Amino acid sequence: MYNNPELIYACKKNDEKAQKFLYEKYKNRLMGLCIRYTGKREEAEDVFQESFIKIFKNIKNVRKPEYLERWMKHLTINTAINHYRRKNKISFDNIYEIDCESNVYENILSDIDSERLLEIIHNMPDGYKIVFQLYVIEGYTHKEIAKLVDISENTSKSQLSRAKAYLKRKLEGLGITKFERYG
Amino acid sequence: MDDNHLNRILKNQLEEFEASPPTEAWNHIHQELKRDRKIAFHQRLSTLIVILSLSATIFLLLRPPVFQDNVTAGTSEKIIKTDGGQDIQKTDPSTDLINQIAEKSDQIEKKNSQPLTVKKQQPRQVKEEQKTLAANRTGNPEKSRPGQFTTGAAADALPTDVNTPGEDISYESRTSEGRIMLKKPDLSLLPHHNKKQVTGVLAPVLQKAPFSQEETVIPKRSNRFELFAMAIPSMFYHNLETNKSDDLIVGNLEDRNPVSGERVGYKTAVGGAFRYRQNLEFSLGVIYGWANESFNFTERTISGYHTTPSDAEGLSFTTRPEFIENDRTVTFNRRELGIQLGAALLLFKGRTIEQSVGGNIAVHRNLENNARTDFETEDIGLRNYFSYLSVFYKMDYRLSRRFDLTIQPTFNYASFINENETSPVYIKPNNLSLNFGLTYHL
Repeated sequence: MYNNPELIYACKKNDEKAQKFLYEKYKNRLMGLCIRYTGKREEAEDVFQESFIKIFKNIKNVRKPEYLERWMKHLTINTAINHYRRKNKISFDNIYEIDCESNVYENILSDIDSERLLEIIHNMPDGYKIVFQLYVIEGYTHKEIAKLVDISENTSKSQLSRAKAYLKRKLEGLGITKFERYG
Repeated sequence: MDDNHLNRILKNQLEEFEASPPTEAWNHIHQELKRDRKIAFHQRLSTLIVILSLSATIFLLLRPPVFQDNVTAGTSEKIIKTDGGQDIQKTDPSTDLINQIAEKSDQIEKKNSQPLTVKKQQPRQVKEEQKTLAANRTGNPEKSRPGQFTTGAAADALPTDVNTPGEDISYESRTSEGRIMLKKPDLSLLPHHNKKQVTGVLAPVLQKAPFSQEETVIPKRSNRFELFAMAIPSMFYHNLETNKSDDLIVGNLEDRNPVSGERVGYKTAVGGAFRYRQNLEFSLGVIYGWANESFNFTERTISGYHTTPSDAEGLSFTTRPEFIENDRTVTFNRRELGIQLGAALLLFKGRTIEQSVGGNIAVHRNLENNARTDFETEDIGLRNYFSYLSVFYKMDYRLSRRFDLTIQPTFNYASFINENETSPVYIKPNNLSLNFGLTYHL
């Protein structure tokens, strides 16, 4: 067992046991993060591997061991965004018409599990999806998002607003209108 | 709907979302890290080799071209020892050569048995040096007239230890068979050695010196055939060329430091050379090269065409292509085997250093072609056959009678011979290399 400073020190020295330990400790969380940002498992696996390689190569740059996990998540998100840029060129300009599927009308939010929510998020246009996750789930500010994704703060705000509208319509399409009941 | 509440629910549900990676992911990561460590090791090694080679080059270039003991020590053959300049003792005799050297030593002995004078036909340099030395010591320049020794104050001022034993001055004389090396001249061996006579033999490097302790003869080389073996660390400056039969355009290549370790590859060469004329040499060799590399580039593909009317009536239109840009990575392991033919022109031939310039033409075959991109499955191409056109500067430093140290910075320009139509991009492995190795004279 390692604590964070020991783990970082050993990984800096290319200690394979420590690297494996770090990998085992964080692999599920980071894989979940990759799936959230890429939407497809195959792409998520690529981003996951690329992220871990970057983590091991750059772990020498971690100054505060207590923020190790945060740093790893940030690096993984960066890798995912770069992956998007390479693959799809993120569009922040187009306003998509939203096609709400309304087959299921169950009026309980608890029926929406994480994977269903993820599916809805993944169906969002790329710009919405990235800004929405960075703001709502990761807790980044618009200023930080603007810097990270290389857009203006106003674009970030408008993308978030559209993402929320999209999500609400999707949830309404599923019959979910009263989130406060289960808050 | 309450936005904040919705946000909170989403955050709670998704923030800790976890998924299992594939079981083989760790193996891939581990292999990649091992590969990086290997590359880092090679980078450090190649940097060290380049630094050592450059240091050796600078050292050899700045070193004065004087034979040192260690140069002659390696050639034990044909050494003649004298005993006080009288009897000649021969070791490892080569009769003709020894006879000539013996004659030569007799002549020198005879010559040195006479008092040495400043003669009219002596080079002006000697006389000037005499004057300068005398003036420096006394501040009273005294002219040395032909046929007379320098005397008086100027003579007293002149150093009597000009040729004391152990002084680091070398002499040489040439015979038709080779060079005679003399060292540690000792003027006390002269039959009429005294201060005034010494004043007559100033500027000893211009004077035939008497034999002292030993002399070494380095016979000339045949200089016709030689064999070489080279190690060739190279810096690759790839040029990507698109296959013109598809719509793909390569945009920016990764902006990499010109001396980055990521550019390093290796080659080795062995072969032979033949000196056709005194200043012209031809060579033939076999080269094996390898490199593991990856680099990024921007690929532009035409996604469609945008047509707009170019006049008010709408009778003519302007069509512009629209592009999609993708950043891509190419990773490849290159193994190549080639044959090289070259010619070198001798520019300078000194006692220990020869300098040449020349060119090579080489044909290489790829032994391996497993280049891959990060997104697609098709190979990014190294064509099966390609050629190098090279220009080089070569410096040979004489280590011994048989061996030279060769240092040869070379620029290799790559061009293709055949095409692989399935490859969207071709890699031209231009490179700058620092060849260094040994040349053996047959």
